[in-house]
Amino acid sequence: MVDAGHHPKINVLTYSELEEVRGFVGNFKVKVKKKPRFVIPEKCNGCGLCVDVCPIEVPNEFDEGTTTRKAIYVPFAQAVPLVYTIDMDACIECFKCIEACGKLEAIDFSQKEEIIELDIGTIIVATGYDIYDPTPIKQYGYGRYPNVLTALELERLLDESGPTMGKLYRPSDMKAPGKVAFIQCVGSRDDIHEYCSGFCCMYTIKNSLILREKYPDLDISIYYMDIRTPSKGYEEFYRRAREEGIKFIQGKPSEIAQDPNNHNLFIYSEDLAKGKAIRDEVDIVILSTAAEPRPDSRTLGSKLGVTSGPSGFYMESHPKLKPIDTPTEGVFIAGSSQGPKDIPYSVAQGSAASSRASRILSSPEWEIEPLIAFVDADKCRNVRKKCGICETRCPYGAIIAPEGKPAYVIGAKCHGCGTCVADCPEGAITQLHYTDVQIVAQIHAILREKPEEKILVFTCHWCSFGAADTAGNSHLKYPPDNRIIKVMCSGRLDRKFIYEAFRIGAGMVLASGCHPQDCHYITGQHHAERRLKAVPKILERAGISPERFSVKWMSASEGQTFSKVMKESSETLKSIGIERIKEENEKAKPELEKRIKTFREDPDVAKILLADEKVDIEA
Amino acid sequence: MKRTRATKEESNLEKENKDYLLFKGCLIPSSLPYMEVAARRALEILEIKITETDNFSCCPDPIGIKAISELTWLSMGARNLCIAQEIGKDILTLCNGCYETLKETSHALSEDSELLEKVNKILLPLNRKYEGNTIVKHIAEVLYLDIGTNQITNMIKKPLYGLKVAAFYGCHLVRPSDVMNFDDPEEPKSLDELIVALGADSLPRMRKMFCCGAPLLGVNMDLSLNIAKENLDNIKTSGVDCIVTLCPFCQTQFDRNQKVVERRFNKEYNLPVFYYPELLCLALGVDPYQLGFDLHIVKVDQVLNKIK
Amino acid sequence: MEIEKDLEKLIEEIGGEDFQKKVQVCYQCGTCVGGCPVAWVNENFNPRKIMLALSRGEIDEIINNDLLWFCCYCHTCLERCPQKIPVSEIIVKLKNIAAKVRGIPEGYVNELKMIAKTGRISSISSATERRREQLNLPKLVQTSVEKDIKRILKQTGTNLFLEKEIKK
Ligand code: SF4
Ligand code: SF4
Ligand code: SF4
Ligand code: SF4
Repeated sequence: MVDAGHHPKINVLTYSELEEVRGFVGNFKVKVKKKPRFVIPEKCNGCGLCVDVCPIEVPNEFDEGTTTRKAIYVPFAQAVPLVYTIDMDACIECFKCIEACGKLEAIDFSQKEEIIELDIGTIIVATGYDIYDPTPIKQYGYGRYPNVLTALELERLLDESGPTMGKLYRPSDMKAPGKVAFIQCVGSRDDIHEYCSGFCCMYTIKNSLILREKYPDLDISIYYMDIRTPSKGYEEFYRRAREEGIKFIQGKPSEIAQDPNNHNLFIYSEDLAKGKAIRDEVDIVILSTAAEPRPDSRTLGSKLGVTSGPSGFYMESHPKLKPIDTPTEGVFIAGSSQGPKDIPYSVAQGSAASSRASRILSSPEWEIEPLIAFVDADKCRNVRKKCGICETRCPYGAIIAPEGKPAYVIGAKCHGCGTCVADCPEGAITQLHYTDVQIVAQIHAILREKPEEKILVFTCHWCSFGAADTAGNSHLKYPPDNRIIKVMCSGRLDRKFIYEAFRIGAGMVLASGCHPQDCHYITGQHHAERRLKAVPKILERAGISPERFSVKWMSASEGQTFSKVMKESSETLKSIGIERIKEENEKAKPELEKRIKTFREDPDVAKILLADEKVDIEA
Repeated sequence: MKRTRATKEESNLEKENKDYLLFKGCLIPSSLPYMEVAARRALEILEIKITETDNFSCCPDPIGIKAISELTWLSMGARNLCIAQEIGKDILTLCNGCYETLKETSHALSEDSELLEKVNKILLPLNRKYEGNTIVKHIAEVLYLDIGTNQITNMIKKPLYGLKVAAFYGCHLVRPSDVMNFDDPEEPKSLDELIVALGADSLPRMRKMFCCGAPLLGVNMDLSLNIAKENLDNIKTSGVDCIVTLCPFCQTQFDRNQKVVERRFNKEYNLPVFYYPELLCLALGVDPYQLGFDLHIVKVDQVLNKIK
Repeated sequence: MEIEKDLEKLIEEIGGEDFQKKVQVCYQCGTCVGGCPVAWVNENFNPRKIMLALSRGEIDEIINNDLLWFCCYCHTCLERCPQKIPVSEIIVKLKNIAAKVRGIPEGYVNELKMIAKTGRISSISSATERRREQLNLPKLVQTSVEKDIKRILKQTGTNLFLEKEIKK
């Protein structure tokens, strides 16, 4: 950090927030809010005289509240830049600091927050994680029992320059402890956070060894469910801890009780190796709490076009092949903002992100995926009467419909979701590689034979196709009567695809995509959902049983859901029966024909329709 | 972990509804009548109207009967709920066991329409049909949420200053929490606050939410007494003058069986055990002679003297 | 083998498939044991092992073990299970099965007898009435509750526990 602070080509903006990101890869326009420090960095020499006179004390965040700081402060001794800041929520404006600062005149209460604009080529998001506050797990008494600490609090106590100069005391009476216990997986691998935080086993072993070194006689136990040491050298470290006499007790404690007379703690647990309930009296308990996403990660993500998975951590473009990339070209993720990880892994990912970013920065031109949309100016009705529907659909502001002129797409900004394409009333927009012709051709190819026995499934590229993939990878079984057509985003799903499928005899149609909060194109799913809502009614009116069409949202990890939905659909299909399907389809044909009229008007699509009809007639 | 609980303010809004159908249960009226006396007196003084019926059966017992057959348990519970439904009043129970059975039955039948149908089929020959909307409250809930601790403090005449109390909530007042939905299952505060409202102190202790062990009395006396001992030990070391319960099973376990535990484990506790409404009555100025304290096994005189 | 078949039917009757599914996610952490009042006083009672046996389909092992009846249904396990497995509720279902296959503990037989006879679990003796009178409590009127209760017991098959000689 100090090196970064000194580097001539690195500009560190601390105490700042990202306001807005516009533009596209290589040409981002970024607005950053710089919060006022009320201290002028150039004038402040870091003498700290102001701190001595400031009368206000508040809990010190860096020491996890184990110590206090003043209203004018630096967060910690190694902070970059080493400049004082006034915390206006705490300051009472007594102005004693101004007096103390004297001739340096570094304190300036008139500072205002400032918005700066930057031209940025690529962005790396490395916003880290937060530690879960275990207060809601009431049976562990954190916050109520003074001698129950979090691991982060212990880290502060073990720091030689920390609040206790590296000495471990019982917070209740400042006595030296004789016995301490660690509890693993507090708030992880449970109903609070489903995932494993990954690094807690190792830091607990590290802390237990530090304690062993400092206090050879200290009795140290670690309560755990599984000790996870999968990386290089880790298992050896675990063995060393056992050699050093650290006790590993398998069993997740059920509760911690506190003796009201002396604040001693009692851990109640099962000792799985013995298979019985045990009670352990200790001086200090340290909770290894879960890592969780920063509370504002979703808001920040939506400014950057970076989505979050169900756990709230940022989603990579592809878990195996694009682990650093995001759905927004030129924006990368690194470190624990993507998921909990330890230091070596974070460093590796950080290096990978910077090299991914420099590939872009070092080339004069950058190729993007050719999935973008374009407008056929002759068809766009915006020329004749005000339309601009496409403009309201685009999550990235990539399509613009100027008054009286045809709409146009800024290629570099378009992410290729296809939402505008599906919603254009004139069919004026085409998405490369996902054109109407291509999709209709797929529908026809799939339904050429025995269409009424088939379930046509539309998936999005990221989530529901991922779910199908997961189902396959996990060897989940489901009946073979479904056929998948993949689009990039459910936003591309034009109702006409569904009508066309039924028109040529499909047994069932299922539309799928991401859960609303996971949409890789921010709002594509939202528009799909809105659009598809009307479909069942229209089908019913045409004579098609509404259960023959359904919409399901699922994430890439939901292989189970996918196979379940497939099984259920298959059962529905069977229970309706081929005969009834054929009858219904026959009845619905004229109405459906009306609904796909624009396909007939497009010569290329019409060609496919006609070709199949000819075959039918010949047959 | 997100749960919505009725807050004090919320339920104060529905204050008019102070007329309840009393569900006396089995154990209290026949074996522990002094608990009934105190509950009735307290409700009377606090102006909570009571309606009664002789048609209720056993709630039934959520441990024994449910263990034998969940369906029998649900059906008998539903029959009791039907009676309240016919009378058109919310049920007020005096016992954690009745509270759990009736509240859980009501919850299960409103969540699961298939189950409701199944149970109603069983009730058909009885000419009863449960519609699924009976509300069940425990007397502690009524005191804490309907009346509120402020009101109680305002009404007491003889504050119990200096009395140190161990609050014993009992399992089924709060667990299973997503059904009972009344107070926190690990760190409840209602009874503590109700005790403090009387001027007494509620002291912290270890394993406050440990089961009293009474459900095992009919299955394995030895285990039951061992569990009681764990509680009595923790209560004794916390330095209290007495125990306060909300349930006739806990009451029996600590009052009647305290002597048994003392003998068996060669211990001496000497901890009087009160049903919360008893303490409430004392603080409201009810004459102790009317409350039947002579029916307590552990003599309560030391406490009565202390608060005189 | 015959018992096996019966078991399957019994499990199905009480919605067993559902609870067997729920138990499959049990990762044997022991939280349920650490807080269990019965496990605290009896080394052999272990809700985790009950869940283990259930998830492995060894139901007869569970119901042939009288320890099952020791669970006092305090719900501590259900509250604290990190996988939200309703341990106590599952144990109740297992007891229901055990009751049908092997009968019920004597204490419960007496309780059931009392319920069948009076609709209540504790009797109303003349001593009771005297005491109530002394305390100015209203008389406990006996209504025809029993008739209703007998019908319910019959409809739900629970009366069988009273008719046949209990094995235990
Ligand atoms: S003005 Fe604020 S920062 Fe300065 S000394 Fe006073 S309280 Fe502290
Ligand atoms: S809506 Fe989607 S396809 Fe259309 S311009 Fe915007 S990003 Fe491109
Ligand atoms: S607490 Fe839950 S997950 Fe842990 S062993 Fe018991 S049932 Fe299994
Ligand atoms: S419900 Fe049963 S198994 Fe669960 S903690 Fe209580 S006694 Fe133990």
